[in-house]
Amino acid sequence: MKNTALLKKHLLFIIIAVSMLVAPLFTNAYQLRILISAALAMIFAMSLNLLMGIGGTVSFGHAAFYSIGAYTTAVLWYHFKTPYSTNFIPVILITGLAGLLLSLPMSRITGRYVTIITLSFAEIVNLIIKNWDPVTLGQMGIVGIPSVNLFGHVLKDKREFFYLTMLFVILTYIIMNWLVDSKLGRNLRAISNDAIAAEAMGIKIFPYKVIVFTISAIFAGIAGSLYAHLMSYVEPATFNANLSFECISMVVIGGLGNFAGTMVGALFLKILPEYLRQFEFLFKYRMIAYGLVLVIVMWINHSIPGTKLKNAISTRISALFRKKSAEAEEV
Amino acid sequence: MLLEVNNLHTYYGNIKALRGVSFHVNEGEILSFIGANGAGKSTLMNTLAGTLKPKQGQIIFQGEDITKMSPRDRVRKGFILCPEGRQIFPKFTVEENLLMGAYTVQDKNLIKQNYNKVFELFPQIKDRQKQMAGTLSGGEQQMLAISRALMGNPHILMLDEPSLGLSPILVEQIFALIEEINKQGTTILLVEQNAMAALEISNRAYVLETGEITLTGTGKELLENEMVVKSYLGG
Repeated sequence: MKNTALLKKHLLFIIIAVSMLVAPLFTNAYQLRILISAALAMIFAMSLNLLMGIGGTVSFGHAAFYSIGAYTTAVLWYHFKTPYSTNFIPVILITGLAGLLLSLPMSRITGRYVTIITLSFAEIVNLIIKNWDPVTLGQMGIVGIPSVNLFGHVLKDKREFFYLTMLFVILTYIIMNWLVDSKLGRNLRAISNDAIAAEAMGIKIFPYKVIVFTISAIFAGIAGSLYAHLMSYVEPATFNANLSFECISMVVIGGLGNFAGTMVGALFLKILPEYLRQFEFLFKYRMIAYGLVLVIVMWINHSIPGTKLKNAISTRISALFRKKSAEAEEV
Repeated sequence: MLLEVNNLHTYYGNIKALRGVSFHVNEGEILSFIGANGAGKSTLMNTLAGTLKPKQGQIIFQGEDITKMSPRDRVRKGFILCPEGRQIFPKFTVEENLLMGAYTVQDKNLIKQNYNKVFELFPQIKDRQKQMAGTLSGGEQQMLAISRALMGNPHILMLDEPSLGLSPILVEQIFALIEEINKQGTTILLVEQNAMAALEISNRAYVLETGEITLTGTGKELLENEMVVKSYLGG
């Protein structure tokens, strides 16, 4: 009974994981590369979903952690020629530290201030990477990063690289779901439901914000570090705001707090633009088509409640008034 | 004396919301604060709960100075706030909401005991245990919010505007239940705009005006006080 419920809950994940694991048998090199980038996007977007769906914080600067992960391993390789397996611990430590840093103001602010701070955090990180020439080589980027080296074994074959990435995808999914079902996840959901009530029940908000940001940053950083070794070069321009927005789209398409859904979102947004490339007439307008499909999916998902649009607007307005009267009362 | 508050000053930035509030709470009583919008009632509650830090003053609970204590440790001591405006967790079920209220309680038997006690007091929400709290009616949400606070095993239960946004019949029901909770041994600290309803069930009351206590007396005395009648009872 319990097993079937568990199977049902994770059915979508199992389907995606299995089909992705067998996919390399049928794909050519180009398609495999798309699959790898989709798998990386899955890790990246799942880490954001922990923050958005469970932690209730929309980060508009998640690319910062991705870039920190990518640059940590790239810089270590460039300066010390260390293999990936050695760089892995510093990647976790440094991205975790960056997440911790960003979390510090987060227990004090809400709404638009979160947007501003996360956006500017990503910009600051990008500016540091662009200008810290002796370490990051600035605008030039770091080229010639070798493939992943695991304790002396170099993953020359892209297939091997793909399976390593998939291992991380599966691990991320398991850890995320475990976190959500744990006490940590429950308290995080309570805080994002109603911070005041959570605090009145005796939940300390600050440590939970710190923990969720740190964990989220670490997984984004792992995805970034794999990216650096996949592409063999990193440059600051790659890690712009678009990367953050694409990540948010993946989470929104899949549904907040739904990690298997996020994987679908990542697959979708990585494969669709490539797929549309082959149609001569669509190729010209593929970005438009891509946008349209995005809107339709969100519509189906009720992320944009089309029929409930009026409702949504009226709740927004009443929420605004409620907030104002509450503020007036507190003084 | 269960709780003693001396000369409490709380600020929002440069705005002085509490200007030296002093009062005490006796074991087993219902004490209420009445006052208009902006008198500092909620500020007082939040300062007592520890979510706001006072600039000056002292809060002494059972002989211990808790002025610098975190909200969490205050909840542990049984000093529990049921915040204003039905702050329930809308996406949690009723059951989960109640269990969140027992966040600081370690004893599993006590949790079970409180869980059953709460349903005796509020049979309306018993049938809705598996329902999302956000789908409850306003009155039920308020009952849930109070029940959730009770799950923490309060010694003093602080209720911030429990009648806010409820129909007159529900207000009456809620206040009858507050009296019932009090009879079962919980000291109640009540903050209300609905002065009539609050004073009727209170042993003692204070009138709060722009951050200062201007009047005090038993519930009955204040109900008959000319100034109170004029300003708060619409006489």
